[in-house]
Amino acid sequence: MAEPTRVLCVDDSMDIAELYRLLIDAEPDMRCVGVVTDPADVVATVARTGANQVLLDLTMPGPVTPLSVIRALAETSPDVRVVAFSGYDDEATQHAALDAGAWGFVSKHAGPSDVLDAIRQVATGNISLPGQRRP
Amino acid sequence: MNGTAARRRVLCVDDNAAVAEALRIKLGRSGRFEWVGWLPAADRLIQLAATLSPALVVLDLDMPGADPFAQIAALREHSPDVRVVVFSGHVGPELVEKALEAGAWGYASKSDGEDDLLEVLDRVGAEEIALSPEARAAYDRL
Repeated sequence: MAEPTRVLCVDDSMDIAELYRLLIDAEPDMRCVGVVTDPADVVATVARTGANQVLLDLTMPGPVTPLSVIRALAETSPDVRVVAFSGYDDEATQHAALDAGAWGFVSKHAGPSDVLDAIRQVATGNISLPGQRRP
Repeated sequence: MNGTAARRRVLCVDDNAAVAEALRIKLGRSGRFEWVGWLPAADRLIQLAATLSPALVVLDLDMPGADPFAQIAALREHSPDVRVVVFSGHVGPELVEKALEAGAWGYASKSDGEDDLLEVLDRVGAEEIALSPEARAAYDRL
């Protein structure tokens, strides 16, 4: 079996980030390697933990925006793939994340299985968007 | 492929907009393909292929509207330089055979994923008949 996907969970709500940690750590093929609540800490934490995916909230306050984090990761760590999630799941929000370099987008209104599916799809090299039917 | 090679023009036909959008992003990031557009059905494929001049058409099978196999055959007649690669969630020996007999150059399973589709597109672009692993396995069961 392949190495588990190493996921860093990023949300300004520690409760939500910890929920994602529990969800991910219950799966055999992925592992949460850290939880971050400030977008400014993401790039350094990715380097420190060896994460190869980042599950990233797109609506976080602060001078460092989530979109700039996606761009920074795409530039400095192109092997690290971002799955963005947001309560705003309109096409413009999705396009902004993907144009910045994200590999996946999940609505916050989606269920846990959709988050896990997005992580798995992105781990295998696919772009993951809401509404794709996967056989 | 080296940086001076022309990018191959790709037209996507799939009734699922999210599949098409994911493919647009994936092809764009590869640097090897140029996205010329997306159609949600195959009904106007013949006319639009003549207008948009894609090198490759990525075609879903399970769509409302025109019969995709008839469209593959019609495209072969009207635009013989345009090569069709079927990209479907349905993969069986008869489907792969029917697509190839209609004139498709390639068949990729949606289960195999986008990297395998891109490899099929590269090979078909180089004038090979190409099947993704699941499509190859199905065809070998004939």
